[in-house]
Amino acid sequence: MIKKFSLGVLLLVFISAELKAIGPRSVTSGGTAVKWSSMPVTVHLETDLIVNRGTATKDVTTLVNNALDTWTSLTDSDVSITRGTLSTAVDDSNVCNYFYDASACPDTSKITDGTNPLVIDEDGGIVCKFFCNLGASARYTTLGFASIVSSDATTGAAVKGEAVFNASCLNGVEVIPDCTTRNLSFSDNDFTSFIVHEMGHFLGLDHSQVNLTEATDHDTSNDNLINTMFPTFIVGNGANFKIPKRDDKVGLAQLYPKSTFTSSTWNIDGTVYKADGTQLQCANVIARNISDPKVDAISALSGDFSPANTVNGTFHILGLTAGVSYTITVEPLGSGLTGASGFTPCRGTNGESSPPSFTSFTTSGSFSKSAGATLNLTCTIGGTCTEGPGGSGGSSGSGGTGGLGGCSLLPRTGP
Amino acid sequence: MTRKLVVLSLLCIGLILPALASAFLMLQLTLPQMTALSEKVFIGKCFSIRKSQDRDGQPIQWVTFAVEEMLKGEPADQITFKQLGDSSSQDNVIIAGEHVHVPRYVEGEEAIIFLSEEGNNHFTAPVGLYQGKFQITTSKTGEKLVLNGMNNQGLFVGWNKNQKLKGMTLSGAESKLMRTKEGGLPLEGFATLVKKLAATE
Repeated sequence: MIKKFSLGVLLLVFISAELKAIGPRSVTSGGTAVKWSSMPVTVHLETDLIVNRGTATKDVTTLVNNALDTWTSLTDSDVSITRGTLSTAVDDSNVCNYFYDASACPDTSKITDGTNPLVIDEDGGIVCKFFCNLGASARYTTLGFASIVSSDATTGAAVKGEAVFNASCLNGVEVIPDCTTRNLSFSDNDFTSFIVHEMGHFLGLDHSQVNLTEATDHDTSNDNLINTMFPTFIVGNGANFKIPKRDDKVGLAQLYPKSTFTSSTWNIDGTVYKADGTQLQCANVIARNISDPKVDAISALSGDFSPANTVNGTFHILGLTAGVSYTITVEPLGSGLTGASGFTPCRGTNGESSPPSFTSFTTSGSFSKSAGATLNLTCTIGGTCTEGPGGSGGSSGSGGTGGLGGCSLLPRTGP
Repeated sequence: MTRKLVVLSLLCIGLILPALASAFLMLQLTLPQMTALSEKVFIGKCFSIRKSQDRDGQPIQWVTFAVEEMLKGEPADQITFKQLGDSSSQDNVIIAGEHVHVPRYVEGEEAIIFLSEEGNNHFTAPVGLYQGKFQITTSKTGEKLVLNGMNNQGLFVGWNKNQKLKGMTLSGAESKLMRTKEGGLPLEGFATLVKKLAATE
């Protein structure tokens, strides 16, 4: 009876979470991002950081440390991580001693066991335990997973986080012949980049998309422009992928800002509307520095702090450099980037709608503000984009549309 | 015992929320990788979808295709596979705490399926989920085209460095495929290329 009752409560809580779970990766019902409430965050590493395959071994301690240091060394955000230990090696046989998952590891006592486990999956066995209901190939196509698995319902303060990094095809110690004959082997840099990406989720970051064309084209020479929190990974791009880009850095600073972050930068509060005047959720809005549009690019999703399937087109872009001019691009999310590889609240699952389709556009004019100022912006699909009332601080417009309100549209080839 | 009671209490009063917000990083597959990871690749027409549920209440579907051509794997007239999900609704599969968008099927549709080897409890799915199911459509000019759930993006990333592809003798149509960045690909050249890739294994 008690068991049935607790399951019922769990179900209710899950349903409740769904109505609220949006945001960076998720938010509370009050629109507060789910994140770690205080620093440092203590992570608990398994003891076996040496991957063994036959007689070959590789110590990945340095790779793990480098990946963790990547997020803690950023200048605009205030994140620190303390290394704890699980005091044991972890594989698929004992992973549920430390992990919580409703299906694979359903023991709810793990939610508050005080550990935040980080585990190296040597052969893909842990990944398979969680994902091979999608076929055996998921052992190799799932490179890692992570989340804040529980949080305070009101404050969004994280209670438990966990992450798995898949080392099954790590060069030199990969599973043979599965990895070698399938061109799946990846480098130390690739593996490090998985850890960096998953630790982004561990810290509360969602996926993001700023340079979709470069992320999906054939040209490896521009893969340095793919942001770390882009949802898919191309084998061989780890050296680029492991380095957070401007969008990744601002995303983390949004969750854990240094005290000077807001006052030293300017931001945009905007709304995206459909042509019929209703607000549009899940439009990807990108501010691009006119002098360096692919590198200094910061994105936000409309309605990402609101429940799924609401009529909420508001967006907030932070961290813009004072005095620098930015154009605004409004674009759809990439097709196929849905589900767990998608963007909250637009994942096409769990009550969330699939990303809307529309023709992207970029303003011909640009916008600039002084530090600490806010630009209010209104964009309409297939229409115009104008600075709305309420903008503060020293604003300047440029680029042919002349003036503060100028924001005419320039059709772009869709992504 | 005490800890369990505390957890139960916290859950009961809704102070702690188990999250449905995990995320995984998925490999963006090239066509050679997708082919190599597949146990079977076939062109077929879906003619039966039978629904059920597993022990945890997750929806299950047995999907049957009439095989028109095997591109990889043993010859077969029809193939039935068990996949999580309900093709009448995409909002229903939970993996690792996350609602996962799995491929959906419609009776009568023609598709190329890159089918994974069976995994846990004999479940399987197209390799890379939406990456491994290619719908077959007919263009205005009557040409048959294939398109996966990622608009065919990334299928030929690094093709000019791929040893398998470099070592093959390719037709003009096949070579042209590899310079296509996204969008529908001609079925004929696509199918022959997959067969050549499978033959190299």
